[in-house]
Amino acid sequence: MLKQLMRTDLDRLLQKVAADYHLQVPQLLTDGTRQLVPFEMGELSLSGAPLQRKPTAYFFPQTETLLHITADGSIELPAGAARPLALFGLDRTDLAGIAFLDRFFSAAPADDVYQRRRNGALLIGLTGAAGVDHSFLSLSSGNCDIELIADNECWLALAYSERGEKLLSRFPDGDSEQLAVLRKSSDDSKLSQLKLLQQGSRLLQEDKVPDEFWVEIADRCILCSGCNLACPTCSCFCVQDRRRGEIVERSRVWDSCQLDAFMREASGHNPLGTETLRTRRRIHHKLVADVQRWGELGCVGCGRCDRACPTGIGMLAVAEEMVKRYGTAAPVE
Amino acid sequence: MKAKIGFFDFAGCEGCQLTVMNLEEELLQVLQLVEIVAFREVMGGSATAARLDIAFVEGSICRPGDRERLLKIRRRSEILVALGSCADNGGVNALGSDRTPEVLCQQVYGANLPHLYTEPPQPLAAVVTVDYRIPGCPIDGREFLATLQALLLHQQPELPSFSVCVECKLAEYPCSFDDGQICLGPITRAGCRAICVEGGSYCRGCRGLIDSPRTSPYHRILEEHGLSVEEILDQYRTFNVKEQPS
Repeated sequence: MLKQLMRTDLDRLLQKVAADYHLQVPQLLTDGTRQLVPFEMGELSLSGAPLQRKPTAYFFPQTETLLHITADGSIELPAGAARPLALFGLDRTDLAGIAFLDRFFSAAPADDVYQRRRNGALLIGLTGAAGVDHSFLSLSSGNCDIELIADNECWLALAYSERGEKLLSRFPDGDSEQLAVLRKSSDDSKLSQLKLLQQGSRLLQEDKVPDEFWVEIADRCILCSGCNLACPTCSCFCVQDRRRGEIVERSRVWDSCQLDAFMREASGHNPLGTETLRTRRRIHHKLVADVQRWGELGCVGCGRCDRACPTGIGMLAVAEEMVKRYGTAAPVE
Repeated sequence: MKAKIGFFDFAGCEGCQLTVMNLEEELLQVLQLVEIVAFREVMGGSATAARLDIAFVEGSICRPGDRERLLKIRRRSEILVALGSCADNGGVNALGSDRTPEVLCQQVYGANLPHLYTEPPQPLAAVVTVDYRIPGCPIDGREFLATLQALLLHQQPELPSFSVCVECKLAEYPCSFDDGQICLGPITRAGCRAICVEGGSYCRGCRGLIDSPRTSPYHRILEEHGLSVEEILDQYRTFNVKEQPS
């Protein structure tokens, strides 16, 4: 289904979504960042820098109550939200990050806590001329219910689910030729970041990156763990129990593989006992282990870790360094 | 039987004891589990219990008689906890440690007043064995409660092993270095939820060093932002003094 929306149509669509969902939309905040905020809390930001906070945090939040154990030993699960979430304004990498976590948390044993938040949620992508100064953002691979592709003063709207089709059904049809032109300018193979990551992945898989490289990169790590915390595909967490009066609360909290205690065992042995091993693992996991397990990179190229890292060793920076030093492939465009 | 606990103060602003007092509602719950036998800021009289299960000691050691008094507290306490930055690291009191009492008095009061002379302020650990620490200037009330809870359950209280940087990144606060500002976040123990950065300031290191500070990349950041090690040390000395042999 292909539709075309003018600005008034877009507002109508969002109103319609907000009637049934807890809708979050992008807004430019006073600190200069673009963030998702509840609908009708201010002016929509329909183009600009990537969303500051990873949208996956809506489904896998920083801290999350898993269950309560009451005084009589019975277990209570936290009450679900009154309305499902709807997120609007997600770019290709945001949607790819959510799709990555969907697959991870639904693989056996499925994570019911994640699924309680994710099931029923509506995702609306925003691609096309929606970047900084209306620069072009690559189209998604359909990891959403609706994709809005900004082009001039309108948005081409694609539905990828039944719910999406229902929401778009009353809007006028879009021009398929216009879509074809937009698709052409959105050829993923031309995306330099993805190409860079793929080259880095290949170098690692071919064992062309020596240990000295990791010693050097690790020596630049300040252990802030910002790379993990900002990453939309990082899924590690630790579990903690707290007693509040007569009730024990079990919750989970994001963890970071860059911290010394991440894998430290009760005996004191630590399989990731040096910064070098931890740094190597961070990159290896995304560019090799995930490729072997899922058939695709664990990095969606959103650049959040590169923006968060105070010492310039985010994923893209490290991949670039690897390719520059050890790559024999054609230079990255 | 309820555990007997006491609060004692040496040189300091008493802000850490005040933080405990400000726990109010939680403090009433705590009283169901412990008997407070000394807490000058809250109650009158002097501590009468011969033995204490836990002594929370605030302040640094610098006045005549401090050492002897601290040793007495240590002898009658099963567990001794350093409460706050002054007790833990010397705190802001130690700022004047780099000059003689004569010079300090002259600079502060414009006169030589020998009755105000003190020894260089020292953390408790310079005098007695400290079992546990609750760092910070002032302490974090929740960390105090967590420490007390662990001790009452005969468990080891744990401090975060990671740096303030981690809490900053979790909250997505803008990096102080990006503003060309000194920050001790990369080497300072977390647990404060980066409250100073949240308030628009920077980390001054009141919670002391993490166990394995990453000095090499830290120096690199300083260089990249045109900051010097001396500038960092100036900030570091605000709350941290080297232990000196007792």
